[in-house]
This record gives sequence, structure tokens and C-alpha cells, in this order.
Amino acid sequence: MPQRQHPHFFQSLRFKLLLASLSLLLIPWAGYHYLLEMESSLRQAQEALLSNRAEIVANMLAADSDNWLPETGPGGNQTANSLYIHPLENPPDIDGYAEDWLALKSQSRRFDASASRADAVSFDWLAGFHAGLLYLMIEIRDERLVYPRSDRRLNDGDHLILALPGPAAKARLYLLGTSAPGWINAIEAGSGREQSAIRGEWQESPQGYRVELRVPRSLANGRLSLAVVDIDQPGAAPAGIASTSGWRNNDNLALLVMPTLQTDRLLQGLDSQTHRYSILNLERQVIGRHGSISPAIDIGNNPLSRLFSLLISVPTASTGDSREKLGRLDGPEIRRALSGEGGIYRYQLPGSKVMTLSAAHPILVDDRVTGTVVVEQTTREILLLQQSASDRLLLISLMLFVITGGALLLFASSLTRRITRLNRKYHQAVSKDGRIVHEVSATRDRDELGELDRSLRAVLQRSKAYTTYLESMASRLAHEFRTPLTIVQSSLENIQNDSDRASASPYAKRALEGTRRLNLILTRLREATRLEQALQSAERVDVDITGLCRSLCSGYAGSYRQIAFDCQIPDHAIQARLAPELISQALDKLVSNAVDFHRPRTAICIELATREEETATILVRNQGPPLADEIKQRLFDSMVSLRNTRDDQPHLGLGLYLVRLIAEFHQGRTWAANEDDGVCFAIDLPCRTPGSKP
Amino acid sequence: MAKREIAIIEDEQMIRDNYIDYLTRQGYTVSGFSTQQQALAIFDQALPDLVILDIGLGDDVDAGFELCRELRNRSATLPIIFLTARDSDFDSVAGLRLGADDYLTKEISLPHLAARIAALFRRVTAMQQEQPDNSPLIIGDLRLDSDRLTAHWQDTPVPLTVTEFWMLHALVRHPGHVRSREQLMDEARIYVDVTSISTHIKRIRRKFLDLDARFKHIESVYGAGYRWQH
Repeated sequence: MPQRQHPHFFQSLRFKLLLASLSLLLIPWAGYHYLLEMESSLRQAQEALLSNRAEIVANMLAADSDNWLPETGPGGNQTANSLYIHPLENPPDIDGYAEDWLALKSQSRRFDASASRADAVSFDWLAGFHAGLLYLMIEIRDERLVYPRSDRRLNDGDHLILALPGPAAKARLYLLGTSAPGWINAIEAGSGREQSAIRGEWQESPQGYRVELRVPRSLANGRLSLAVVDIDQPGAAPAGIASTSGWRNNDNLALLVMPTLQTDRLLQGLDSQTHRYSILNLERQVIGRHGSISPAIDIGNNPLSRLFSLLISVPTASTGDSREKLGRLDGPEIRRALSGEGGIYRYQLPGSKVMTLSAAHPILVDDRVTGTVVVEQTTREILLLQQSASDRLLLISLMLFVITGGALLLFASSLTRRITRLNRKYHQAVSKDGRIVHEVSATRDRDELGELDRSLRAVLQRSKAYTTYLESMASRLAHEFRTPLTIVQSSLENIQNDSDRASASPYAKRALEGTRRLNLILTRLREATRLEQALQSAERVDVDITGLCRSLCSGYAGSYRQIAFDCQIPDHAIQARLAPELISQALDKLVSNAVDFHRPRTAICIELATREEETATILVRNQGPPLADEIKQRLFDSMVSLRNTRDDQPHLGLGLYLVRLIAEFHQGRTWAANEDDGVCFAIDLPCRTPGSKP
Repeated sequence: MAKREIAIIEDEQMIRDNYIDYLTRQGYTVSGFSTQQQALAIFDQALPDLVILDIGLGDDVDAGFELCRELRNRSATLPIIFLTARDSDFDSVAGLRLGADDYLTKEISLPHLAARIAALFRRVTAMQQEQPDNSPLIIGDLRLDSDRLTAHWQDTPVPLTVTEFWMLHALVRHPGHVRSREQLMDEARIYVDVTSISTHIKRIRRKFLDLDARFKHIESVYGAGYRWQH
């Protein structure tokens, strides 16, 4: 059988086409780039929209400024002293500890004493409101703590002064202090009355002390001032005073800035799901806030989305928005707005691809900037849009890839299968030594492969015709030689016959001998053709090969009396379906060959062996000169002879060829091998040992 | 006795002349023809005593077969010998089927040819005289008459050619002894390759088997030859 080597998968047509189909991956790549461009244009559109929105809201607020502007406290030039009050979600515990204020700590405001000494008193201010109460958290840095000896005489030690608006434009002052850490006393200056509505707790801290206060909003009425009085010697004059502002008159008190109901109402009608509106005063303090920009996002949970989220970062759950709780905003766009022009800026949220767009627009009342509207929106919408588009893009690309790849694979498989079939067909049609074993029929496919098949078949047919021509050449030559040879022979025979009367010519006798040999050669030349004809009509019968071989052995022993034959034939019967005449003819050739080459006085061994219960091998061994390796394969070809000895027999190198024809007729094969001290020729024949089914 | 007349139909003139010369020297009257038509024109007047035929005559590759069929139609007893360069089994079977008495290839030497011709004439004479056999060779059910070149199996004649008769004769003369192919060739006075001997033996066997399905007296001794198994 011809050996067929399947190409490795990576060298196969299938793999190459699959590789080509990888070019489909350009689709998602192109799509991704398109999406990026889409994102940037969407963002631009979003910025424009956002700016417009900020402008509209600003104009709206400006038109309605009468209703809300006074509520927010001082406008214009009155802003020198203002205190920002943060809205609180939960009321803090009044315990003198800062835990409740941690979130706002960074926004605390520092006030220093007017004195320039390095160890002068200073404090951090934080304030918030919840319902009707104001909460203050004051962190005081004081190197030396001095407590008053009595709660009645608070100005003997460190204390605070809280100034609230009072009657007749005069501020009402309260001294806040305690003789030991704990609840503070609030005593109105002058009257010495204790004000129980003001509650507070005093705790020492590493830097000094901390006071947490609760003051009803009604008492403050929008204005408040706080001073810290530092006493270093009991009863002595204050070493330093730090305050938020002046505290003598109502007008001196700092204005409390806090989001007001009025502005809230104005903003109420605006979309609050995706935008956040902040109204800032000139101090950039938030005086109104509405909406949220970090709604929970429904993230697709399908594997595709998760796969895609690896490629493009997707907004995950609400990320920390630092501006959410700020009481005072800052940024380029805000500064720009305060200078009278609208601006927009883009913030990257930490740890996310989500951006926050912030558009600011000044609120112009009578051509004067009175505040700023800041409208914020995240690019989350765009990202979500991008994500869903990407999802679909990926899905479509994947489907396209699968469909096209599958189609290509199928196509390649079908091509490969056809090519393999073609390959096998022609491999099987031609034997290893190049002879055409059987006819092939071409397919009717109209494509290139069909064309290839037909042209291969045509080549094969032409080759077969040529081979037939070559093979029959000897036969035809022999046939053509026969007539002139007969003329010569019959003429010579006439001469001889005549020579009874004339002189007997030795030349005629020699010539006649020559014609006899020529006849022999011609007969041998025709032998192969005759055998091929005989094979066509040969009948195969079930024969016991052992019996046949035994009979042959005894036959050879009789025919070659001067040569010893060593026959090794198994006892059990080996059945095979074959033409015994032909097998004996083949063995005749091998034995005659062995006889010609064997070393005198050595035995010729005839052995019958079975292999794997299905092949019987008849071996003929003789001691003698070994075979050259390069000739071993060709020995069984037509017209190949190794003999260099001369005798009167013509040797045309057809004997072993006939053996091969006979072996192949029996679906067997022939081979030759060198052995230790001689050569071995063998015929493998299919057989069946008793027990195995035919 | 008048000279026997032999007709040779052979398109190669030199071969024809050689045959004519040789056979004339053997004491026959020999006439040669190169085509079927020439021969038939003469045969219309009188048939010769024996005809030697080539198969291919001129351009007609099967003219010899046609002529043989025609002659056999005219005479059932006329001895006909095919002498041709075509040595395939197919041709020899076809020739013998048409009723030829022998099928020879051209390697045969003239003396061998002459021997066959003589044998055939002897048979014709023996048939005509209808004398009882002088020395029939009888082995079991087989009776061989060397004069008439006839074989009988269980008293039924076996239609053998001269070549086949001589081969069988060689086997039967030494029953139980192996005759090699070379010996058989010598006895039958032909020279062919070994394969043709087995073809001849097969054909003889077949002829006996046609008469008696149990016939198995001709045994192949592989590696040596054949023998008549008693």
C-alpha cells in the first residue's frame, strides 16, 4: 500500500483558511474605534447640552433672584464674613468627640488669633444644621489649658464667646466654658443668666481642647459669631483671642450661609436623576443643591458583558463623588463663571473611567455676578450606551466569526476531503514501483479540483498507454523477429537436408544452433506476456500450502539430483486460495535462481513460515554472493539481471519479474534479503490457518 | 501410391518456398498459396490431402481461421495444421476449436513438422483401412493407438491433437514415473516455453474430464513435471 502522510494540522489547508478567517477580527477592532469616536462626539454634544442647561438655570435663577437672593444672606460686598453651615443627614451626638464630623473634617475652616505669636490660640470651625438646630464643632489649639475655678466665673479661664443677634442691633453674647471637661455652661454676658438652649460638651484634645455645640437656629437667625478667648494665667487678661468676626453689633456678626428652602424650591422642578445642580455664592459656597449624579447602575450580568468589561471599563456601582458633600466648590469652570463667563470642565472620578462634566454659568443680576450655577453630569450615560453598542458589536462580530469561520472550516474540510480522496485514488492507482494498478474514473465536478482530477486521469492514461507500449515492446519485437528467424531457420534446415547430397556444412549446423538460441530468447521474451495472459484465466483453488511445498521439495530433489535440499515445512496444514501451478512456477524460478547462485556443495533451504496467522511466507535460501543494496529493490522488476556469468542460456531478467507477477496475482508480495552467508528470496502469500474464518 | 498433396497457405513467400522445398524433398506434392482466395479457387476443383495454414494472411489477420472453418465444412477428415507466429493460448484454442488437427508455432523445426505430417497421414491411412489395432497401448480404461494417433477412454474416443497425443503417450508409456516438461516437449516434438506445457496438460485433462468427471490420472508433480497415476 502506498504510504500516505497526512499533513500536520498546522500545515493543513483547514488551518490556513481558519487563519485567514481571523481577519474577521478586524470588524470588532474597527467597531471599537468607531465607538471611541462616537464617545468623543457624544461627549462634545453632552458638554454643549450641559452648558446650555447651566445657562438656562442661571438665567432662570437670575430672573427669580428677588425670591431667593436675600435668603442666602449677604450679597455682593457683604460677603467678607460668612460661615458655611453644612446640611447634616443625621444630628450628631453632643459628646465633644469628632467622630460624627469625620466626613466634613477636610472642609473645616481655620481662624487664627489676631496676635502674631506663634503659640497664639487658633481654632478649626465646622458647622452643620439638621432640622431646627445648628451644630458647631470647634477644635481649639491651645498650649496651656486653664479652667476657671468656678462655673460662675468663666472668664477666669479659657472660654468661648458666642455672639448671636440681639435686640437693638446689639449682639447678645454668651460665655461658654466649664471648670472641668464635660458639659459646658452658657452664661449670657451682662445678665449672668444661664442659657439652657445652648448645649455643649468640652473635651481635651492633644492640641488643646474641643467643643461641640448645639444652638437652635431660631436663636441665630442667620447670623452668628464665635470667639475663643485664651487665658494663660488664672484671672489674668486674655493671652489671645481668635474669632470668626466681630461680635459687638448684629451687623458685625458673620453671615451663616446654608442651603435655603427657596433655592431648593426653585431647583425642585429640574431633572434630578442624572444631573446635579449647585448654586454657589460669590464665596463659592453652596447655597443650593439638587439632584444626584451617581444613581445605581444596572450592570449587565451576562458573560458577554463581563468579557467586555475587561476590554472597556464600565462604570461600576456609584463611585465616591468628592463634590457631593462639599460645602464649598472650586474649579476652573467655577472661577471662570464667577468672572462672568460660562465654563465647563471635566473631572475624572478616581479609579473609574467615568468622567464628571461640570458646567458653570454665572448668575447675572443687573449685570452683576451674584453667584454661579454648576450643573454636573457623568459620562456614565455615554459609557452605558457605548457598552450596549459594544455588546452588540461583539455579539455580531462573534456570530459573524463563528458563522464565517465555520463555513470556511466546512469548506476547507470538504476541499481537504476531496483532495485527500483524489490523493488516495491516485496513490492506489499506481503501485510503489510506478506501475498502474487499475483504472481510475474521474469525477464530474466542474471546479478546478474536478479539472485536476480529469487531467491527472489523462496523464495516468497516457502513462499507462506508454507503459503498455513499453511492456508489449518485447513481445511485439519477438513477434516481429519470428518471421525473419523462421526464414533463416527453415533455409538452414533445407541446406542441412540437402547436405545429404552436398557436403555437410559445419557452418550450417552452427547457424542452426544460433537460430535455436535466438528462438529461445524470443520465447523467453514472450514469457511475461504469456504469463499475464495466463493470469487472466487462472483459477484459484483451496490448497494446503504445506502439501504443495512438500511436493515441490521432493520434486526439486528429483530434478536437481546433485544438490541437497533442506526443506523446513510445518506439520499443520495451512490453507490458502491460490493457483498451485502458478505458485510452483514461481518457486521453480526462485529455486532455479538459487541453484545458479549457490555455492557448490551447500544445501538450498526451502522454508515455509506463517506470520500473524494470515501470511504464509515461502523462503528460498542459498549460500552464495550477497545482493547489492541498490539492486535489491529492482531485482523483481522486468529485464533486471545481475548475472555476469556466461552460459549458453539466455538470461533476460524476467524470471524474478514473473515471480512478482504471480505473487501479486495472489495479493502477495516478493522480497529479497541478504543473510549471514547467503541470500534469501521470499514470497508472502495471504493464507488462513485452521481455526480462522476465510 | 500417388504422391500425397499438401497445400501451404502462407503469405511470407520465403518461408513458403522453404517449406515447399523441404516437403517436396520429403516426397510430397506441395502447392503454395499466399491468400485465402487463391487457395479456395484451387480447392474448389480438388481438395489436397493436407493443409498447412497461417492465421494472418496479408492484411486479413484472421483469414486462416475463416479458411479453416470453410475447409472443415467441405471435409470432416481433411488434416489441417495451423503453423503460425501467433503463440497465444487464445489463438491456439480458437484454432483447435475450429477443427484443426494441430496448432504449431513457427519455431518448430522442419523435421518436426515433417514428422507430424507423416503421423497425420499415417492416421488417415489407418482410418481408411479400418484394420484392428496392431499394438494398442492399454492401461486401465485408456487405450492408445499409436498408428491412428487415437485415444479412447472407456471405449469413447478422446479428440486429441497430434501434439497432445504424443504428450499423453509419453506419460502413459511410463505410468507412475514423473515426466519433466522438457521430456514432454521432446516427445511431442515441439519447442515452447514451460508455461505452454502446463496449458497443454490442462487441455488434455479437460478433454478427459468432459468424458469422465472423476478422471484424475494425470497428476501434477510440482517442481518436477507430470505423471500418469495408475
